[in-house]
Amino acid sequence: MDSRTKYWIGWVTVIVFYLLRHDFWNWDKIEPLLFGWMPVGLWYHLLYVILSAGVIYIFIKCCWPDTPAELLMNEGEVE
Amino acid sequence: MGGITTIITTVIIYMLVVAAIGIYSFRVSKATAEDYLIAGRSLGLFVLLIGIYATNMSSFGIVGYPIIAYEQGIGAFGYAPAAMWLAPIAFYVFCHRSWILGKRFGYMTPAEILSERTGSELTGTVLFIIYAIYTVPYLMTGLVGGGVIFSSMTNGVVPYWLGAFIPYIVVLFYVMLGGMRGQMWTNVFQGCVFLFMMVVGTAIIFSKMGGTVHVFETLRAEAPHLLQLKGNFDMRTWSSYVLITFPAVATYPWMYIRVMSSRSDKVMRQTFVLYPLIYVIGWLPPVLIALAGVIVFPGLTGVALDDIIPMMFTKFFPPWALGFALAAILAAMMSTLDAQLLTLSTMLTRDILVKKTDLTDKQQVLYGRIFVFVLATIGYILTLIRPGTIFQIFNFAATGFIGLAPVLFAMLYWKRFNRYGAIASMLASVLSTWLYLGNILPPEAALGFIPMLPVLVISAVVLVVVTYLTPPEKMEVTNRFFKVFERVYTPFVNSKARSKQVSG
Repeated sequence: MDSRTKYWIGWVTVIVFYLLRHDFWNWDKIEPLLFGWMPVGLWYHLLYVILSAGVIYIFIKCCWPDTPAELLMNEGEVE
Repeated sequence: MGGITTIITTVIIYMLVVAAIGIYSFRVSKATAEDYLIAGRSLGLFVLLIGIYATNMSSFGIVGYPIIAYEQGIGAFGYAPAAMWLAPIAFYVFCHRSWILGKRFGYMTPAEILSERTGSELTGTVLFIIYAIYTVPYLMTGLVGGGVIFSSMTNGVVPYWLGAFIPYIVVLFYVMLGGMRGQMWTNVFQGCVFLFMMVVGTAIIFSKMGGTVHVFETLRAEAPHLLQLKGNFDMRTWSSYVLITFPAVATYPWMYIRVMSSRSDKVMRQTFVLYPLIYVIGWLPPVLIALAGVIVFPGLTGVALDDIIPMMFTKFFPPWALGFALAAILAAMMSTLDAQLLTLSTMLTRDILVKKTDLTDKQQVLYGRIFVFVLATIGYILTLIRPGTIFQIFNFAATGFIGLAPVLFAMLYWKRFNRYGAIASMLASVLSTWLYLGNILPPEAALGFIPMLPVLVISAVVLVVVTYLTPPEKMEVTNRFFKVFERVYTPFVNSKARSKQVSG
């Protein structure tokens, strides 16, 4: 897979995951309860935040390049 | 009274430990401006992760935000904390390029980059002034929170002025002494204390209330509407809040400069992946405690709601643990306060003084310390006046900061960007913030969105229109910046360019 495709996959993953935050289908529900007490409106978003770490990992893998070491040296040191 | 003495003694011991960390970091730090102001751009994963978290977890998270859970129920967690996962993406978009420019050309603040990019010191000065206008009130929320909570948890034995004075003097001490290194190390300690206390505190409270199942069954019987989102939130604010949160965190100068002090790409990446997880540990407990508070203290309204977390601690904790809880709450406030102080001092030194005078490194550090003292004292005096509630002050500052996002974005991504567009956009953001939050415009003028969104749109439109109506800047600096960006990003998003570079 070329880097341009990966770049777009990274951004599309972020946008799709953002849309999943709008869980309107749960808004008028309390059940199913997690562990016998946690309403769906809470555990859905708890799970959502935990999974977001994976989304950020995918984004970083797809969209975040390594900065060449020489560019991170102070200009004065290079010249 | 014995209980109050135990609480105060515990807090004093805690403050001494924090001050000792400040002294230690002073002893290992170098006497250079880069070390004092941004820790020599050398922060590793653990310090950066906990430091960013502790900096972002302010008095608003303890005193202001639990009100939403108390009044609007479980959706409070999904509303703001669940939106914060986008913060790392915003840090990448706004701060990664600045971090590269900082490493390469020595910049320490966004205003320095803006001045250089536009070839105009005025743009950096305007950005600094606007940052200061919004940071000083934000800084005040920490001191007000300290005063309110200290006074509340000691039943008024420690008065409000003294409760605000204690964090003021301790933060002043370790920031003046250790600079960012001292501030980040104390933040790590304070962040850990806060996280530990909130998790253990929630467990203790729910256990004493008969267990989690019992608490939620009681809530279901007494206030079932709090266990669902419908009726408590509407989709338009729910959706727009995330879009606003996305750039907002990165526009806070104290967060921006924290990220710029990262040691490497690798450290930043690891920090950002772990950031949402640490956020869950920090934000779920206040929401759960506030929900339990609905059962224990039903019918609270107005300013009484500010105290819901301390009231729950006071109700269920023995005095020694209460002292620890108070220290943990103060930790959350102090770890934001110190970052704000140091950031304003950094900006004042780098964006104003260095440009006007020929200061040595040692003089920069000295002036940085003097500014920390002056700014903290102004903040403390304003705290005694208390011009508004914590939520009002926070809302004013947060809305103001979001209006700066278009300029901060354009200076790193738009070649046509110029000084006129930058200044017009920044002034438009100040004006529109004032119009919306000063109640000059009716609430309908925000079209059902939170005012941050129209403020953001107005400043972006003004930026684009004024930029195209005025002459472009000379391309020398623009080319210097974008040549660096192209070497980093172009090969990554353009495989042809990459293979060309490899074969070249």
